[in-house]
Amino acid sequence: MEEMLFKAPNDIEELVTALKDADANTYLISGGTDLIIKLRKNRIYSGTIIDMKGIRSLEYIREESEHIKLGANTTFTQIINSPVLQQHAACLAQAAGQIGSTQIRNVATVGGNIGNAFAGADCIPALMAMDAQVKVICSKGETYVKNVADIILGSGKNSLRKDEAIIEIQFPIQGAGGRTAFGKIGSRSRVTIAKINIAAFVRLDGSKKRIEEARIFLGALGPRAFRSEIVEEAMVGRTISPELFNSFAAALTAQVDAAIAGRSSQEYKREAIRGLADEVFCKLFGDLSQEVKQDER
Amino acid sequence: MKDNLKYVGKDIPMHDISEKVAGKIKYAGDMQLPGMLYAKLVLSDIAHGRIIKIDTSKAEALAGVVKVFTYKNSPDTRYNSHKWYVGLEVLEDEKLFTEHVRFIGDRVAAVIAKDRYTAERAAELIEIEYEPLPVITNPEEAIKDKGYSISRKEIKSGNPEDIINRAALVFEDRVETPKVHHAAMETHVCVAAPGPGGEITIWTPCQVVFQVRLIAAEVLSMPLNKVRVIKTTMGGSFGGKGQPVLEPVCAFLAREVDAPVKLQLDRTESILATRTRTATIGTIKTAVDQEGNILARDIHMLVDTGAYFTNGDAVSMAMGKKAFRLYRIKDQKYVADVVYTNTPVGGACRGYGSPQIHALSEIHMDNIARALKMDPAELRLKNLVQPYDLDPIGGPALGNARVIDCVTKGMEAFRWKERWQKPQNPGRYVRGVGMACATHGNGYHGGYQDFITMSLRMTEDGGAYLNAGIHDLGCGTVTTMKQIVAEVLDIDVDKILAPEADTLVSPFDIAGTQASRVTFVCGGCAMKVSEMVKEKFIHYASKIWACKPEDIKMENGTVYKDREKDQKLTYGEMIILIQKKFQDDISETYTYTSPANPAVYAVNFAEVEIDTYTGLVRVTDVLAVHDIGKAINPGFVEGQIQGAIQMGIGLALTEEIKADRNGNISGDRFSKYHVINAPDMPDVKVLLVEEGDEHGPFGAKSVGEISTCAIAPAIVNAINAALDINVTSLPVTPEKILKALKNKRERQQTETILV
Repeated sequence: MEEMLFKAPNDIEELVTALKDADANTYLISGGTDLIIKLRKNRIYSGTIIDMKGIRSLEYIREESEHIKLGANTTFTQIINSPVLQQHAACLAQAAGQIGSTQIRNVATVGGNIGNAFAGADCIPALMAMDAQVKVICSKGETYVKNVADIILGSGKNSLRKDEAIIEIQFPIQGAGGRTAFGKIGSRSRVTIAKINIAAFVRLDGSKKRIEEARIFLGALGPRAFRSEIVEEAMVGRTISPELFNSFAAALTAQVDAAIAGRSSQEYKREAIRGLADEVFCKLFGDLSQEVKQDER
Repeated sequence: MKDNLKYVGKDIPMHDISEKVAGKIKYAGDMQLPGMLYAKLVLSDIAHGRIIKIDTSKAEALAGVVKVFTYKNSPDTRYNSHKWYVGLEVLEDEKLFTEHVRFIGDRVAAVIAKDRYTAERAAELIEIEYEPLPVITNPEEAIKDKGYSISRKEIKSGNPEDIINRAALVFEDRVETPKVHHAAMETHVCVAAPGPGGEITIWTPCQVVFQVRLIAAEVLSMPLNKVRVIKTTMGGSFGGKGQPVLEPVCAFLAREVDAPVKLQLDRTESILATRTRTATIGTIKTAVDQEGNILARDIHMLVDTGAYFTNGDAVSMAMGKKAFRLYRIKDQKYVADVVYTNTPVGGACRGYGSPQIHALSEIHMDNIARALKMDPAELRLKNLVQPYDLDPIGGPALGNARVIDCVTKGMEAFRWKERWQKPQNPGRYVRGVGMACATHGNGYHGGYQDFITMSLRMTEDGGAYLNAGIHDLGCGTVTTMKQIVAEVLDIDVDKILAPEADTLVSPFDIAGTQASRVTFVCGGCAMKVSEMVKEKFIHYASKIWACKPEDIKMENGTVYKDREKDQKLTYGEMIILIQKKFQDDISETYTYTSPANPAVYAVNFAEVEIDTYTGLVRVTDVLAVHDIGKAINPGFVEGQIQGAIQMGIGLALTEEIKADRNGNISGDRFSKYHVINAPDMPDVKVLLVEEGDEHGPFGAKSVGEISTCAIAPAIVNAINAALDINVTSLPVTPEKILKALKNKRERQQTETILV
């Protein structure tokens, strides 16, 4: 007789207890907008589901001295509406706003998004650009912190053991001069899976003219989001100007060429990424001067 | 036309809308019958091959599995699901389960189990070994292969070849349209149950119960009278549920296991294994004079019917005929070649070839206008048909064809001249406008037999019962019929009962909800039978009151003798009197034969905004102008048009069931097959030209199909005009747009160098 055991811990303690019995057929659910589809598709009708959603204490967005911390159960809708994130992690709020439909954003969580490790996930490059780390708890009740990039193996696989659960996401508050932005191209404007997405973090110098630091991550161009040295090199040390836009756009095209050389989608993506370059550039620097916006071919 | 209409022309809500909104309606998928079993299909995962070995033992061994069916234990009968009436001769090439698979999605087997999940799991345990055969997915390769090239159709008037050969100005285009999925919210589903006397009952959201009965009876070698088909509430069809796909299979399974069986497809199965819009590659050549008058035209359509023939011929002829009914072209030739490919099967899809032929002719018209430096709307106005024109190939007369009114009124309402001439901004986002015209029909008159029988009875409490084999596809057919009856009898719509089709109790209807015939033909019958009942009622009332029939007045459910309004009776009271005195029933049964098949027209104006960096297009404004004759229910008409524009935008921009060389399908699920959703839907404005058709009930003509025929070319024309490119392959994806822009840049650079 097949049986799906459903565990619904109400707090961390109960979660740890539930994790103690975890085996190969244990699945963590936190929203379930992807997991349910996977279970159906793979015809999995037996095992154990641990539903994280009942742990209300994992639903928070907190500003703590130098860090921002998100409970793993924070939904995308909560991220979008958070003034703290809008201020300190615009790229994450923007990415959350582009995920799926309103119904999905109301249910799906940031913890689940990381665990699901989908190659085109919108939040993941944004979290990476924010230098985010993930707090994991195991069946012994121990917690440890890992980088997002270390958890996501790509193409739907993560590095977590069956008795581990993501409980928190945290990233440092970027001090003066930090700016972030996210952009995405799908095949329609809403409820679409990214063909390409970008999250960018840059730090300007005191004069707000020169880029001191950049972290640029691209998603949907491979099994998982990756950091683009090509694009960062084109930005760091440069002054905000129309020429910089052209270098930025050209570097993104070069990055697409390097990432998906020979793929049938290359022809489109290497051109279309100019649209993302424009969008992200405007979001990053649009307030600084009118002239940076212009892009005439 | 009758003035002061009380029910016709009013926005009366759909008969079951509150139940639908409240979730109370039971669809076929909600049905539960005692002892019901669940079936799951096994579909071919290669595009062409023969089964060498099929091992069902593991599936059969699974607990809960009742039986597995393959070609080995099912009828070998070949049939064509397109056959909608008994006398229709068709090429028969489909079987319940095949040993020779012809596309990814072909039916190979079915598993019946006690529950859905067991059936699904068992289906995966069936092991099949194929001998692969060569795959052809490209229709242009298929036409060169004798086994794939199956039929040629030709229509001709005058002598176009000579004129084109002599003409100074001849323009040519090639336009491709894709296979698309109907994307009804309800996937295909059917329930069948055997009866104790060897009869079978089939519940299905279908478009033609008598066609379902015919196909099921043919395949199962049963008499028609042993098969009962009941139409269930439709969760969307758009032609997709026109041909019986699941019904013969489900009926067979239920009979074999002697238990009720439910067969429901998931989305991927519905996309792959039912029917699609027929893909076409059209070439068109038009000779014009300097002023833009069309002198002659030559059209060739390569029609990709997919892996089974179904309606390959019918859809080719249907689209060809439309080419003679939009513009005044005396000399014109239309040739269609129908080919098989190893791809999902073509069938009926809203417009039945009309969106395809109009994509070809209307994109082409804009290219002619561009070459002649003319306003494309003006070019059309020079050439469009006029009211009461005749069909040059001898088809039904066009009737009160008001397409020129649609163009002129639309141009004004859309501010066409102003927007068309507006210069482009050079920035990232470019806006442009386009327009297109289209024509469609009103039933089968002139092509096939077209009649329906209806019975109408006035009840003892002043209501009416319309017994007719009608099929409401969710567009308001039931309420439309009620409005017509209500108008003739002057009773409240809510007092009329008009159940949907059930072959056991409904009088015969030859064609169901097909060919945009319902309002025109079925509505015509409802009006006629209502008038007959009214006449009978008045006849008896005048006998009872010993007066002339013309002195009897019927008003709002009451009857009185003229000038004696204070002594009125309700209809019910009068009927009881008639029953007592004359022992007769106020009912009539009438077989109405469609008297005509006038053309119906739509003109669409569209504005698009193109992101020239990403190639993404948003349709920002649409005006749909319709020559509708008379809107029986303007709310329904607008609903039809809103939905049709949504479908047409998909055809223009995003929707495609695409097969690669090996027949693998991309776009077999909604995450990869994008219909236009709410955030991308423009505000659609509707403008109705209501000039009345003499043969339609209260002057009404069709809207369900015509409404989706002009929008795709209008959008493509807007894109091409705005960007000065010429993309003629639908859907116009971002990829195609960026490629065209790149080619244009390179061309311009070359030209600059040469200068």
